Amino acid sequence: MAVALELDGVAKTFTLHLHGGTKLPVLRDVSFVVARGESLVLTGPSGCGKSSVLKMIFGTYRCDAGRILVREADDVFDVAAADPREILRLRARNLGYVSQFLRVIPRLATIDVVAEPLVATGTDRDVARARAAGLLERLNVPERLWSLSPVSFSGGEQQRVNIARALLPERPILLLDEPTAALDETSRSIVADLIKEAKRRGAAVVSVVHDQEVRALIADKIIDVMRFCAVRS
Amino acid sequence: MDAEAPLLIADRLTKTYGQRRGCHDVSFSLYEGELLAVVGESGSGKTTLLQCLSTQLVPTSGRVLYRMRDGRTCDLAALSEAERRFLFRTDWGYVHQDPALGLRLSVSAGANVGERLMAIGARHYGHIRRTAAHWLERVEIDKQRIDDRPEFYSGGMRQRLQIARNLVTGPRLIFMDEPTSGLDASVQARLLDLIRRLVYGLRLAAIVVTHDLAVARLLSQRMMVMKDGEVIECGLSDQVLDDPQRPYTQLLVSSILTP
Repeated sequence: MAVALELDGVAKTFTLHLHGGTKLPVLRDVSFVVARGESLVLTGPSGCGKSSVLKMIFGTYRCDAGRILVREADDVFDVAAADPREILRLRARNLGYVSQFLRVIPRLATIDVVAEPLVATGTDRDVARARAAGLLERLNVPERLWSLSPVSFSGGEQQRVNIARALLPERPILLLDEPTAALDETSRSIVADLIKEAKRRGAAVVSVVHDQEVRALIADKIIDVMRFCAVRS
Repeated sequence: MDAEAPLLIADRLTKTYGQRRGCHDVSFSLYEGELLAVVGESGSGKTTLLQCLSTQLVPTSGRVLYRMRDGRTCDLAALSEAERRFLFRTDWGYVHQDPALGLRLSVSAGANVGERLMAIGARHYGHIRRTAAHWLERVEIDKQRIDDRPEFYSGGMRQRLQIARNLVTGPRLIFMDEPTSGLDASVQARLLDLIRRLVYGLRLAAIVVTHDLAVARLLSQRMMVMKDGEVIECGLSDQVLDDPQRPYTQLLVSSILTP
């Protein structure tokens, strides 16, 4: 299968300048590949750096060493070496990211929050809204909420909005940070279905999922991030 | 014309006031469709930088290059007075923190917007009024209030009117100096939403000076952090805020109050 994402010797150390320049090594030699249509689940105890791996792939965290290669047809992009504009282009075209937080301008209606990434890449607003509506409906977000800002929603509702927003543009690489943490059983299985559908269309998925059942439903391979832990005990 | 060429380039821009440093050795490129936030505490040189970029201050050294509508990239210091005026009247917008500086409070809202059109030669009264009404609508001001004077507007409405006045000539670059500070949180959210939609919708380039990191995160894709007149860190906005590298940026980020 064609490789979509490859990490090679990636390392991350945080320097805490407000604490006397304390160096906090988190990850070293992170290396793995994810093929198109494949789903990798990262596991390990809290604080071992699972979210940091996702954030480095998305370009939110800088990468201290190694390469993060995003492949598309014959093109290869190294996120670790890309300048901000290249990363923005990569995000718009290749990378979908579900973070643990929903950060939006407090006034934007839910349906527009979800449709926005599609509109930003040139889809007609009405078409994008119609597709956003379809996905929100599928995720059981009640229609009466669509015209409201998600800022005041419950944790589970916000998470479903976040998922809809990241999955709607059908990007080739999906990075999912605890996408089901705040969801009930029904919603969890819907999200698992959506992830399986994304895989079928060829998406490479890297996720952090604690829930055993969801993990069993979506994982093709599992990597324990402890093995990249920079501090050996 | 190369759409990938920067719209504006700051090249080692320095401004000193006698012994005092305004901004020092600032270089960056700005592209169309891009919103760049300049953050830092008051006195860090943000406004000096904005004024040098927009030719309101003459830099002590360094250059500002700008790609004109005809595709030529010019050194702004070498432009004729007429060319500079053209930039200010049509191709650029400048949104002041205090709307009273960017508006004429004692003439009607419609005239405030129409004035910029007349400055570039619009003469047909009906057309000017229709365009003004259209822009009031786009910034969510009730058309019924077109003949009211902004001195009777609220702070948030004045700021939206200032934005309409700036955008009516179809500029390619907008400078904004603390556009949302001093406004209530709900008014601020509305303004942020509006700025974002207009700037990205019209594919403008914008440079927004703000001391508010939350505003910068929601508005901008790229960010520069200034301290004592120098840019000490720059990058994607989420990168700078979530993985700050420099001691000062870490201090700024760790000092944000989140409700």
